[in-house]
Amino acid sequence: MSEHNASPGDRLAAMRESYIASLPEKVTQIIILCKKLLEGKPEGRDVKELVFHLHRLSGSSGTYGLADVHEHASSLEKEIVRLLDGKVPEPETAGHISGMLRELAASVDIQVEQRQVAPSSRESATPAGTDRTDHDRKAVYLLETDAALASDIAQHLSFFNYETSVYPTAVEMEEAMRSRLPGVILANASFAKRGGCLEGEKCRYIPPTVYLSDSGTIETRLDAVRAGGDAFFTLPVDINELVDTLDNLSLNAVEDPYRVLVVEDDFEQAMYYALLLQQAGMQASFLTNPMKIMKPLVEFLPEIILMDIHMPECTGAELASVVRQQTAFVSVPIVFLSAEEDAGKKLRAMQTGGDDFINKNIAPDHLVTSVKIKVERYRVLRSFMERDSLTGLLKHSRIKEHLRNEVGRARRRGGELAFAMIDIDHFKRVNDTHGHLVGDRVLKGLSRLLQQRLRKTDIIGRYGGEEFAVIMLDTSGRDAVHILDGIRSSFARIRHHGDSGDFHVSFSAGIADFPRFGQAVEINEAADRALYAAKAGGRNRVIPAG
Amino acid sequence: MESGGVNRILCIEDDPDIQAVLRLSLESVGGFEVRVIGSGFEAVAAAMEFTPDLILLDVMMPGMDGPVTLAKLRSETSLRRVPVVFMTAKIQPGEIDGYRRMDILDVIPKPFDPMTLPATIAEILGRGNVRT
Repeated sequence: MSEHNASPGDRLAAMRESYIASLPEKVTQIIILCKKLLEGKPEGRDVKELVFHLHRLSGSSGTYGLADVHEHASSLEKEIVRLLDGKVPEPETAGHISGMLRELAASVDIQVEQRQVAPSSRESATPAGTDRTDHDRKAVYLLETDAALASDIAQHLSFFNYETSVYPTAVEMEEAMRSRLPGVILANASFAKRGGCLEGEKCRYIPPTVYLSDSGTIETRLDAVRAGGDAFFTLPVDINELVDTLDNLSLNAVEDPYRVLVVEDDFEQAMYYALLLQQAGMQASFLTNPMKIMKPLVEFLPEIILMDIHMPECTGAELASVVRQQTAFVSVPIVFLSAEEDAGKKLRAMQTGGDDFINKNIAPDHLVTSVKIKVERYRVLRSFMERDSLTGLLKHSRIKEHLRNEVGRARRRGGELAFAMIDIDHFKRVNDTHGHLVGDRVLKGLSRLLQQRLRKTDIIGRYGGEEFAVIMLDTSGRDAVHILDGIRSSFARIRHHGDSGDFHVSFSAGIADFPRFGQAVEINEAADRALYAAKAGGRNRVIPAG
Repeated sequence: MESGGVNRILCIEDDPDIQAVLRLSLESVGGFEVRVIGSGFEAVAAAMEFTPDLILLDVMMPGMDGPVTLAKLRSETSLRRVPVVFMTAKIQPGEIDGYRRMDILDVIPKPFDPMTLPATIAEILGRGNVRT
């Protein structure tokens, strides 16, 4: 709806932005094809394809007003068109083409960089409390004839930002699926008996399906499995467990892209590696001057560094030592890129802190796989070191470290942030009445609620016991109170299931903000005092620091 | 905007990035009713069904290019009189002159400016009316 209210100019600007975001991928294809051509092994179709891609890039970039990209793409296109007859380019022409390719890549780079600067400044201009979750809403279709039960489930799921549409018949749900597919289908198991809740002919893709049933008999479960069900729950359903399953099944559980930093003095090589990895869905950044590594190291926070071993300013081994001297980067995998065959030299380089060697002539998909494996392992290791095993949130020490860093960053940029301390009310009573297993479920439930309702950039930790802490970046104290109060009200309405009956739990929170409190320690103490005031004031409330 | 009674425009353009801009430009800026298709192969069927007042046709498309698509359109009696405007990037000198000798109203060079494209079309149509 809002799309139509925006002026054509605004909409064009938005389209331009997403077009720019797609440019690295487009240029990657061109670079890969160009490389084949320059290496003298193009197949007949490659040159044609290259011309086609360049033609499109030249046309579309011009239409979106990117004059520079347009110029470079169209002059390269003219150059390549001359090679359509299958000739291998002369060395001079090849040098010329490679220069033009570099200019094209650089012009794209400038656009992408400018775009990355622009949205973040706009993001902070929009109030933090509005709209922060709407675009993350996940659609669930619920097939259930019992209207009261359906609306109860829908309400509970809405606390976790799942948007539920209820359909009493399979026909109606199928109709809805023609215009929009949900992330997950929830269906009463009675629909499973009829051979699946969907006939399947009307739509090609059936989303993951979770069956709900009054009875947990083996027959019902079997029906659900045979109908292609991905999970099965008996009613009354525990909302925390259900959300857990929905998170795993819906696409939103997709991980953040891997962050790769390439340090390589040869521009073309660096660009090639970075784009190759980007094409594989990673977030890759590159650096041609190793002396400038400090900034991307702390700001981009790479999860793996690919490093050329021979660079004019300093060797890869020296650079690895520099990186390793900082405690925060002791465990980041460093992989040397080299054509080195001498095992002794390789070993010496590893002693300085490198983890592995990758041969520069490695096949592209092997490079991608090798990087993936290393980052995966690094993530697992880090999560053991940094995260609470029950909730998956950051540990006490890590959240304090983040607070110090973020306060420093906000001070340098003249920004703001809010810090909240959250404590579940009368948690001991939950444990005493319902047992620790149920208590753990409540803790997990709150951690999930915080993760769903806060922005991805907000930092959430478990402070210990039943206490949580949240750092909300670029957020004023007032906005933070507003946001957290919404979460508080949802949390208090969630019905938890215990062996001796259903119950509700609430939390209290205290909030302090920068720059009103200037140091991390002060912010921490002020938030703690506010939390105490919230408890003293009767609990189930959010109080800003006085 | 004086558009010579033109309400419906059929665009034949293979690049999705440009398709989106064309739609925005012609619908929101120009106020036309627009149908966009991605290849010359669909052109005749789409034109018969949509009955456009004008066809914007990209020249360089994979599979079936602009001139071939034009010939296909003209081979249908009911589409013989629908005005066609080519869109093309200037690749070779003289290329555009060659196109102008075909049975088309005009050639719009690419890249075009989405904010002024409707005005350009209106101007071409004004001239077209004088000619026929």
